[in-house]
Amino acid sequence: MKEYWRSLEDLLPAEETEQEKKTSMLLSDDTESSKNSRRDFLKYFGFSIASAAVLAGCERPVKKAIPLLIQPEEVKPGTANYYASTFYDGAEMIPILVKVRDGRPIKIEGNDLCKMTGGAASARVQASLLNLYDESRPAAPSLDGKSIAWDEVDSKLKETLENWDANKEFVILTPSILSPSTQKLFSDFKAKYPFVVFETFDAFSYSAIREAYKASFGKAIIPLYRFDQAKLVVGFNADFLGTWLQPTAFSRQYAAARKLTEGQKDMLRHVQFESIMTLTGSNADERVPMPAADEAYYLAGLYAELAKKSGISSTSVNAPESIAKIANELFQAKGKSLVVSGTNDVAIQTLVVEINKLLQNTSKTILVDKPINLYQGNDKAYAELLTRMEDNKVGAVLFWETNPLYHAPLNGKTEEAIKNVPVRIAVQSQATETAKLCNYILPAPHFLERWDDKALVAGAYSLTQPAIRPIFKTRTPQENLMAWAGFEGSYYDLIKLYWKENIYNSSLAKGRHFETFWKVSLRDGLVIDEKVAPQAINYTGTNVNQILKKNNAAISSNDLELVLYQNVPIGDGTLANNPWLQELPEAVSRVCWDNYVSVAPAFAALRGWTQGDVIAVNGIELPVLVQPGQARNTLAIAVGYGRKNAGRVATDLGKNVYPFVQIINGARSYTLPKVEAVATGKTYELAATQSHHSMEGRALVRETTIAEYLKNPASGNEMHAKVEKLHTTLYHEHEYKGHHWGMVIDLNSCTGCNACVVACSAENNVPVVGRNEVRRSHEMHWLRLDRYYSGDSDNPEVVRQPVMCQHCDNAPCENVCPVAATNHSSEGINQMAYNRCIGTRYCNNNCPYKVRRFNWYDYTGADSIPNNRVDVAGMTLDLKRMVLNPDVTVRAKGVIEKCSFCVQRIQDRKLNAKKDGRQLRDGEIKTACQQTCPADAITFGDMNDPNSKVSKLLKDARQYGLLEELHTLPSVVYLSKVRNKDKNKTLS
Amino acid sequence: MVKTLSRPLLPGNRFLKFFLVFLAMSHFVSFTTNVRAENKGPAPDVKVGERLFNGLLPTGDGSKSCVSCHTMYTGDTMNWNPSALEMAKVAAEMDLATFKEHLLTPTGAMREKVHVKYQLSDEQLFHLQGYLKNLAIEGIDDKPLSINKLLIFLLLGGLMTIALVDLFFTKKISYKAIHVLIIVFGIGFQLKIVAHDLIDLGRSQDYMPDQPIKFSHKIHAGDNKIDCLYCHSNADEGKSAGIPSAGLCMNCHQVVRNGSNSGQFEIGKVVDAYENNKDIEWVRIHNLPDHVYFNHAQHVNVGNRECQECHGDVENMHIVKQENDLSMSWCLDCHKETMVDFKDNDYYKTFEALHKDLAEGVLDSIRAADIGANDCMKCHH
Repeated sequence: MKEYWRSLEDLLPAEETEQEKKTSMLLSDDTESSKNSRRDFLKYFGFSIASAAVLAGCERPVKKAIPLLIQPEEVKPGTANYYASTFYDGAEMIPILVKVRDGRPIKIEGNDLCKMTGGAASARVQASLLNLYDESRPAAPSLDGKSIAWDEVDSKLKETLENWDANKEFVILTPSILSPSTQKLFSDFKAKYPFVVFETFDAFSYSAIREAYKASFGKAIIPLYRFDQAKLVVGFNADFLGTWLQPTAFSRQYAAARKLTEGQKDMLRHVQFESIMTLTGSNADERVPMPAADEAYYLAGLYAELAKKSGISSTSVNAPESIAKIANELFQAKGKSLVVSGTNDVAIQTLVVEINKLLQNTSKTILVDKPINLYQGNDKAYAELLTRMEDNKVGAVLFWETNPLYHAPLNGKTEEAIKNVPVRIAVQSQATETAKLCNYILPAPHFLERWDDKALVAGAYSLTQPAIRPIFKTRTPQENLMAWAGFEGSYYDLIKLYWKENIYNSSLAKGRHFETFWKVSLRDGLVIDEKVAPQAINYTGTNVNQILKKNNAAISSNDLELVLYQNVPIGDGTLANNPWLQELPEAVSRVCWDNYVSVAPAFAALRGWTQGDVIAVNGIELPVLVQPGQARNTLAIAVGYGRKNAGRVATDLGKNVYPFVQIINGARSYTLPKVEAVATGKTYELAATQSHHSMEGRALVRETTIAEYLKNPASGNEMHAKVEKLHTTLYHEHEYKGHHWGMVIDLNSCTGCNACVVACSAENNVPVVGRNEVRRSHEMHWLRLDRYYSGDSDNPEVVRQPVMCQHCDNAPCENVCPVAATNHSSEGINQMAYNRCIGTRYCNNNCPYKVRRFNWYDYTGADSIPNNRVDVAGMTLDLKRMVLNPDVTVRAKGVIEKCSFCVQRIQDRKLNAKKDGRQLRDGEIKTACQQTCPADAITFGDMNDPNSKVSKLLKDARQYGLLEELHTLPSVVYLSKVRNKDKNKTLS
Repeated sequence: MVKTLSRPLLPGNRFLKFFLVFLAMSHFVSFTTNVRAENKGPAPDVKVGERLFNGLLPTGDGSKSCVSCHTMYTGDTMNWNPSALEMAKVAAEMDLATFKEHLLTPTGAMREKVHVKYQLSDEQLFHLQGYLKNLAIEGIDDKPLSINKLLIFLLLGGLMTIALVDLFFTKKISYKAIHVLIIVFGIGFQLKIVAHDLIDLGRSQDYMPDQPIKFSHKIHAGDNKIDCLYCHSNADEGKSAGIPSAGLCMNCHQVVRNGSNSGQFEIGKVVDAYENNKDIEWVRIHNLPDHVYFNHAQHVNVGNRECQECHGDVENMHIVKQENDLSMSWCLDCHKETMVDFKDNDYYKTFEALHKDLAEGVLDSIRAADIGANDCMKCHH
């Protein structure tokens, strides 16, 4: 058994940290405040009398029951409807189902008809629901700060457009538009007003990939990647499981190619070269820390090695040893490998394109003939636009859900350029920095309130449909254009017409009428036209010798470099004003509610920094987080924080590092080769969930290597057999006459993307507690992703483990509850009756897994006593409370809560089966975490049914229970992790 | 001033409000004697109107007082006439001539019979309408307090005080056991009242609120034998039984416009709501706490329970009231006794061991509680 460590403190001698000192001071008794006086006694005595009086005098409120005047057939009170729709936030596009209960969207789930995601959704998709109920969304149109009616907006802007000076441009700056109908509308609008110019701006730029393909293939595309077709994936600073391009689809492909269940014997091998520890890197079979500045050199070396092997002459590069080794492996996996880079640098991306071409991966793992429509922006074009704006060539600019002032300030150039344009219009569904500079602020609906369509790849169409009437006085941006151009009808009509004329054909509709086809498409949410021809594209080639020559040696300077990256919860910061996302611990560091400077352990030791020391990086002051596995001279800070006008939650939270981003060689560069970092002497306590639930020194995560596994499937899990032999108990064993629910979690599949955590919060009304409460270890997530390091702190191996209530048959919590508030159900669920709980927390204390959560305060407004309330994110507002699931109790202060195996879902599906008079089908019940998991790591089902998937997985030799030596007999079972590597590291 | 103090300030029957009630009652006595009927020119005298309405001033030979038909409170019995408030709202919209016409030369059988006896001068009509207009604006006071329990509580308190005083100071009764007995019983009885009220705090058995429309379940479900599920169809499929939409009412009331008891008045409200897009704000009778999950489909559809088992003889109720206390023990007791339709519903095939026991005669039937109906999380999740 390897030795795992959970955080750096474990490696260091057990000296009391600053935090602990503070805590122990707070806990010690001799403080002023803890003295109870007679006055206090009288105060409380008086209070209890008064509250008794209030209680006795209170009347039950009269509740109204107001039926619909005319009830549509499909709308039933208390019954949820699901509507197919599509999520798109300018970064990822995912087909979804929206659960609508009594007129309110209360949950988003992935659309399982989608082959790309298979019904999965990311953390941000799950959380985007809460942005619908964001009280800081612009509520009504305004002009120069004064509210104005939509009619007035229309007449004013129509007048502006009709009396336009033809020498000037009217710029509409959009994110990448995936909607074919909107594209059509744009061209119609331009036909009416030829001076209108449409420009694309992506919040986070991927324009270098398009540039590279333009150089090598003649077309500025981003291809469709197929990780599931690869046997070897080599990533260079590409967080493709976390944030890069289509992380949800990639996670699904990646996990599918690494599954060892159902007889699959070989698994995808993944090697990652990276400067910071990303989610993807932490999942790699082997990971090599690499300075970001050397990425071009490493890739140049790889190209040169591969060229040599392929017999192509090229400038020679003296590649590092690890690269020479991986080049061998890659060459052997020709046509079945994939090299990706996440750096927005044209030279690097060109090398990647050429390497994949050398490896004959193009059209096998990289489908260049099926380009995706994401990230159409071009940084050069954006820079040119700014110049035109400064040169008074632009008469008006409309920001269509774009926020360039925040995402690309470019040394104040963006701000100056915007201010130089006379008419500035913000059409936005959220509060933004850019809107502050605008005359017109025209609120747009949230994507759950509007119609739209999307085409991610040619031939793959999906629809967005409203799940609720607009909450505020908003209007779809497309309808603005239609009103100003005097087009008839609504945007819905336009989409339908477009579909009728361009998408509908009788073979796609299986011979059905258009109306039927439309309704079916709307029900399914997506349509795939397999017959759409792949795009013709030819390799024209580019000469990389220039790049090789320039990068033929490592950067050997000792300069500190800074890497700006998107983290998994917040991404580019567009959805930052979201309490669920802010509270979600970052996938690797387990820190929430802040960004920070990650520093390699060796470098931190050199400078004498420890976690929480505030340092200034080029003037930006942020606390240090010591991150094992990071390259020695690299500092890293997440973008997406430090918003200035984002609403109550995100404004002034963390620091904004987008001002560091510059356009270098025609692409926005997120790497700074040289920065200054100095200590400030200040300290700051990060809200980390990292060392909260420590279970050190026990075989919690078990792992092996593929070679060992093939020899002995139980390798790494030998302990399970030993423990099984010692099976004995003092307690009577439970008898389950009907169902016995169980869950299997495949640690080989789980990537740690955290989508499950947000899905669980949304499904189960898990409260948001805020930064200070997390600092006090009061976070409430029912499901956490433990992360353990093993080995060398400069390049550790990482394992992850989702831990929720294990629903033990011999549950230690049940025995100690003095009021029997937690006990065992007849179906094996460790149940928790909130209304019975008196808050002794004995159960919490006795739970070996530490999965029980205590409501220290009232976080959601369930409590009638206002002083109990802690609400940092507006979660007690009526508007935000609309997100609550009415089938799950909203917990008040003073009770314990924990994972319930989504019992409300179990009950619901059981009832459906009973109503139909049939047995439950295996897989019919999906817990919220399982439903959203892109890696398909979670399986839930009836262990009493020998044919269920869970029962089959329980026979896998990799299965074991967490702390099974305690004989708690958990109903959650883990499958051990297998790494595709030799016993010893081969690359570094 | 008079007005505000003469009405009970707080609704309900909670004994802690007794001070306010006493205050109110004493002021009522002192102030009402000072009030005179004064006619200030064109302004109607509301007081005179009120007296006319309540029959304190003569309205004509052998005529009933207005309030005897158009009652202030409708909850206790089903009174099919429009209530005082509803009348007031109609009258407030009329000019005096129309009001007079409606009142003295009525159309419609019921009104003709009763109203024919009224003999009111124009001035009286003016005051009466003034009162009704005022009523329409101010609304009806909450029901007067029922103070029986409160009186008993206070009486006991008084008795105990006297006993204490006598015990230590006046010493009129020589047997101290009598004092002790009075105090012990007094405290005991008071505690019982308090405890009973506290338990009742979360429950509302016999709750029978006034509804915005005098809808009689007796007429619909009883006399006309309309199936419960015709209107509450969701009970068969979903969590909530559902209250029928006005659209559903109109299925019949498109044709049936004249009720047997209330004429066109009550049905007119449904038609009005339907045609003018007005919500009907029914008062919810059966309320469970937020931490309880209840699903009608489980009981009505799967469990095959009759509606009456929980809701009582609704088909004989003009005004629906909450029949049972909906307490947890009430639920659990029923689960312990109710047999499950184990053989006909294929869902229960999952319970193989129990089927075996049934076949072998070890068990004669399966009760809901036997298959986990009383697990906490079945209802509390």
